[in-house]
Amino acid sequence: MASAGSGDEKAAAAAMITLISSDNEKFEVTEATATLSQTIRHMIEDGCTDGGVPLPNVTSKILARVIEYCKKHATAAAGEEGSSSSFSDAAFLEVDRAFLEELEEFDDAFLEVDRATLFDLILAANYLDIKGLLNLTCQKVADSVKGKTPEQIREMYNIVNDLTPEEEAEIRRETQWAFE
Amino acid sequence: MARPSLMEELEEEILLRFPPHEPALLFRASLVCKRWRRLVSGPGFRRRFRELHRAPPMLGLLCSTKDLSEGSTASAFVATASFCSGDLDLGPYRPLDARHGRVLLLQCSRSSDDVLVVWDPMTSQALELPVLDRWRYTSSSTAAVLCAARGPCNHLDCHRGPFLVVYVGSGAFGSGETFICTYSSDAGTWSEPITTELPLDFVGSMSSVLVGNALYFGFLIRKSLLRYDLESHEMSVIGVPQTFCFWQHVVLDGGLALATVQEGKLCIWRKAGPEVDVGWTQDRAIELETLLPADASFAWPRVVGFADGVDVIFLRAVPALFTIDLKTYKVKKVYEGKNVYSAIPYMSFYTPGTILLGFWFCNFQNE
Repeated sequence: MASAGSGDEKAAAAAMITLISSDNEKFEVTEATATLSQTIRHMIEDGCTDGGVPLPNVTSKILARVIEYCKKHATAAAGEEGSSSSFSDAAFLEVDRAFLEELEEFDDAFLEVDRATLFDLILAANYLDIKGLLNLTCQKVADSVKGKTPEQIREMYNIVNDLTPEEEAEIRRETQWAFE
Repeated sequence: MARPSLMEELEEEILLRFPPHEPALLFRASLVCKRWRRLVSGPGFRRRFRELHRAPPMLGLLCSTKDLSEGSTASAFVATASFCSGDLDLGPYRPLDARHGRVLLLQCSRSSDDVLVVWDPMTSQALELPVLDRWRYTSSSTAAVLCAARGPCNHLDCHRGPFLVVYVGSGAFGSGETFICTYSSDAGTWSEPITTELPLDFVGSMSSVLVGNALYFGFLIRKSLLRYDLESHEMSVIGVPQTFCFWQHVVLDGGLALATVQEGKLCIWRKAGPEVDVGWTQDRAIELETLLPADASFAWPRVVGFADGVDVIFLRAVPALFTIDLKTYKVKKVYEGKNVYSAIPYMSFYTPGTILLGFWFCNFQNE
């Protein structure tokens, strides 16, 4: 019993990865969670994760959020794989839909953050190469400019207008029928 | 607290995710600053935007309408995406087809020959095609436009490349002769006509569909489709169920299908196999009453168009025009007030730096 237990623990321990944030906080995560990041996946494949993976570009506050995202999506991916073989088509579709709905709810709630955090998440998703998270966060920003004038967009994203009035007039002239 | 600013290298990632069916958003983005302007107008962005979104969105509809009391007809570009307001009258031009980013128009004239014009709404270029003598003697005709690249082209951004126009004329001198001429933009000329003898019939104005390497045109009297193979240049005739009054040939799951309204139902028929002599089987029949909004009129319901690639048909129920998604059955009213007899979707990606509905269009609007 004791030996079986330690064997399981060993397997579990082997599948754990330590991530270290820029402010030196350590996060223990499963390999399945960590490998949603292509950057970390490559490090694991290269065998350079002993002693933890330092992530000097990601703060503990952001890393905690990123891990929260990866955990949820890794579980969903595992759940989908498991269910595909054990359910009939109809039941599988039902489970599939429930999964997707839950995931969507999670994503929506996950994106309820201020703009600075959202930008930090984009940076982290890009650095860690997490496609789903990059897509989700960039889409959120893209959606947020809907119905905004160029002036409002500049205000939102701290952009200085360096277009001359002549250039602006030229852009508008190009598409006068379409967008006036 | 300082407002957060976007990191430059990730701005493109965000701009790429602007919805293609709302072109005004990218247009406004191009007015934000020089960097954004340069970014969204560049060829790299144009390519990535198309590759990310894959299916070109429907930006507008080329609607032909008929006034029921006067019998007069008119055509207009109706924006389905939220960019331009109101219908844009196409004046003397009647839309025949639109495909792979180009629109084919027929310039109707009382005093001289009708002229075919290939118009690219994105670059504002319009090319008048040479007139063939033979056209004068046809009773009915139609034409299709398509990208000339066969095989490797994904048709996401080929509207500047070479194109073909396939012209079908029928009923010359009251005979059953049907002919096809093909204009190639590379050659700048029409091909010699290919003719076939059919029982007397007239090619209908419903737009053609492209399935694989073949174009299909509808013939009204004997209720049939003319199949024209773009590679072998052979023509063949496929019968349509004789109970149909009007129909629109469509493409479903890569195969040829028919959409029609019968006894208050929208019916979809599929071709049972690719061979010419194989018949049709009914795929589904949906009560219009359950499909259309409760307040919709059901006067003269007819399928008047089809958007390939997005599986959407256009259904007219006077005085409105609806789009019906054949996958989700989502119904949307896209036009109201007139009796639309033909609706041709204009599907294309818009990225800034192009001249959407530009000078050429402006000129005849101002005439």
